[in-house]
This record gives sequence, C-alpha cells and structure tokens, in this order.
Amino acid sequence: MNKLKQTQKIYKNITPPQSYNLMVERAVSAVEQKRKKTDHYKWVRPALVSTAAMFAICVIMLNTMPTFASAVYEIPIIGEVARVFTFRTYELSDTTYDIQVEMPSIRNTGNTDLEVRINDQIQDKIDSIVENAKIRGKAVLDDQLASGGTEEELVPFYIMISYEVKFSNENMLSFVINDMESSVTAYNYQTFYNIDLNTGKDITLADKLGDQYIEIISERIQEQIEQRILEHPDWSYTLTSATISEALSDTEKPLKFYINEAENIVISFDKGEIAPPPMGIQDFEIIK
Amino acid sequence: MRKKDSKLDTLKAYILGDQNHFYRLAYSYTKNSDDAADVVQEAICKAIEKVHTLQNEAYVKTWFYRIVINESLNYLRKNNKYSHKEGVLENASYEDKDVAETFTLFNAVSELEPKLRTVIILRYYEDLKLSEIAKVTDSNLNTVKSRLYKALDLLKITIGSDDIE
Repeated sequence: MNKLKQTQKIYKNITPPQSYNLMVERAVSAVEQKRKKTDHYKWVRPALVSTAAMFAICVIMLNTMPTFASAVYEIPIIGEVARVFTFRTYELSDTTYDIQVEMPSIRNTGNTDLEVRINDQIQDKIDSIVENAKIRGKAVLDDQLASGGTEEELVPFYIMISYEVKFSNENMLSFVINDMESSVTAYNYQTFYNIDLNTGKDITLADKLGDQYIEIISERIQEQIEQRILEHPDWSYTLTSATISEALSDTEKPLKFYINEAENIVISFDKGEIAPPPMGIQDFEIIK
Repeated sequence: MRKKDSKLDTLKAYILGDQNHFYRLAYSYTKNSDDAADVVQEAICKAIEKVHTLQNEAYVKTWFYRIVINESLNYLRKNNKYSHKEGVLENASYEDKDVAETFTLFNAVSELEPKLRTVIILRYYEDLKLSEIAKVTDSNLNTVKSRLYKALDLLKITIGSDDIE
C-alpha cells in the first residue's frame, strides 16, 4: 500500500477559509483595484478623506486578517474548526456621523441553528448600534451648535465596529464585538459571545466556575483591584467590596466576560463602567 | 510591453485557478491559517512585480511554487519556527489502525526539516516530477534525489515500517 499517497488525502483536506480566496482575488487584481479606488475617492468629500483612508486600511486588514484555526490539522476528522470571519465591511457617513463596520459571522460549527441564532444576534446588535449612532450623532452635533460651535468646527460622531476572537477550539468559541465611539469624548462598548460548540448554547459563568461563581469572582476581583491600586495610587474604582456581590447578582445586567488563551474566564468592564474613563477597559482574569 | 501583459495574464489565471494549492503549500510551513494567507499574499505581490523574470510561460507553475516556498522559508526564518510542533493529532485516538498510521505519517512529514519536507510535499502531495522539483528548489536533480531518499529513510524510521511508498 502506498502510505504516503494516503497521507496526501489529509493534505488535500487542508481547506483555506473564504477570506483567503477573497484575498487572492484582490491581490491578483491589485492593479485594477487601485484604479477603482481613485474613482471612489472622488465621491468622498474632502473633510472625510482621512476616514476614507482609514477605510482603505480596514480593507487591507480584511485581506490578511480574519481567519482563525488553531488546529487545522484536525480538519479531516471533525470538519473545519469553527471560525469567526468577516462577513462584510461597510461604511456609512453623513454630516453628523461616520460609521465603519466590520461585521463578523460564525460558520463551520456543524450546528446550523447555532449559526443562525448567533449571526442574527450579531446582525441585530450591529443594526441597533448603527441606528443609535445616527440619533446620537445628531444630538451631539446639535449640542455642539447650541454651545456656539460653527458648521466648520463640527466633529462628527465617529463609530468603528470591529471584532476580535479571544479563544477558539473545537469545543468553545469566544469573541467580542467592539463598538468604539468617539466625538468629543471616546468610548468603547464591548459585546461578548461565548459559545459551547458541543451544545450550541451560550457558556455561563456557572458552567465554567461552578455554583459558587459569585463568591469566586468577587474575591478575585477584589484582590486584583487592591493590587492595581497599590501599583497605581491614582487609580480608583467605583466598585467596592460592598457593591461587587451586588453587581454580580444583578440579573438585569449580567457581567460581561470572555475566555482568554489560557482558557480562563476574564470579566471585562467597559471603559468608564467601574472606574474613571481614562483607566480604559478593566479586565479581571478569574483563576479558579 | 505586449509580452509582459501576456505573461501577467498567464500568471493571474494560473494563480486564480490553483490558489488552494498555494494555501496548502504555505500552510505546511506556517501551520497557521493567517500566516499561510500572508505568505501567499506576499508571494502574489512579488510574482506580479517580477513577472518579467518569468522566461517561459510554460514554467509558470514551477516558477510560482518557488516564490511561495521561498516566502514560506522566509516566514520560518523570521519567526524561528523550525521546531514548531502542533501535536494536536498525537493525542487523538482512532478506531481504525490504518487511519491512525496515516496521521502519524502525515505528522512525521510535517516535522521534517524544511528542505526535506519540501521535496516530499512537492513529490507526493503536489504530484510534481523530480525534474520540476529541481526547478522549484533551484537545485540539481541529484540533490533532489538524495533529499528525497533521506526524507523517506527518516519517515521509515519514524513510523517503524519500510512500507511507506
């Protein structure tokens, strides 16, 4: 038997993600693309040239970035590892807002219901961010005008939606959608997705940390807060030992978390959520 | 510049048609999807830029394979990943003994040193002739043969069987 020929089957099963084929097409037609882009720029008003340039960067990133397969050699046995990939990127702009979206989507989980559910959630989430942004963009501009700003000085409401895979293997998938908003001030809102690929359900803190998860988390967060304040005496948190458990038990507003590369739970607070905004996103790794 | 245009068209058509081959080839070095895509992208850019050095359109395949492999090796050099091990399959168990053996052999191939791996991949996975491999690797036929035999010997030792071809 020709054993090496047998192994060729495994080799041939290495399948590139769709984004790869997209990249190849773009790279091959790079010359034509350049020409088209120049045409495109003509439509962009001068004030927005810098964002248009940023959009070009996004496109280039898309060419090289999105896939993610830590264990592609498993492909022949269990099918492709679940992937988060860029479903589409688009840009919306007006005098009051400027929105760039890099929308993720999941596939190859072997569970179509799950994919439909998550991808619908993502779509809804992004739609609502975009809708909201349009309204707030208008409000922010009205404020600027009311406080004596002139048309030329106006800062449009700028939004960039992107995503990042935090952890992925054949059993679990964890990723975040970042909603970066800025006009006069900048904010970053995160939406996490943690999926158990075997059951198709969302992973809960109790799944990973057991029934005592509230105690465990509040203890770990307190320790880390104390540590951080020691290291940075000027830092302060609105979360105190008294309010941590309270915040944890608030079912209306569940804690946001993701799974990091070490497969640990990381509780993540948005900028300004539990500390002054300049301290940025506050992450707490929970080692059981 | 008519001739260059025709070369460029040949190259583009070839790349589009065989793109998944390049991904696999790059992947066997990078063992990472993103990096494989980067390697191929770099190779495409270089190839388009240097298409005038392609002397005969009939050799577009070996010419482009060579660029992909050089880019892959560059990647390994930059990232110092010669001894990178995936080890994913080693822990897996299979009911079927033949399947298990096939995976062991496949893993063994992917752990050969890059020069030997290149010869095995091109010969057995990409079905190139030895003379074509010589062109791709820019070496003479005897070198290719000796690398091939050395690689086969190593593989036989790894899986403990003579019966691999």
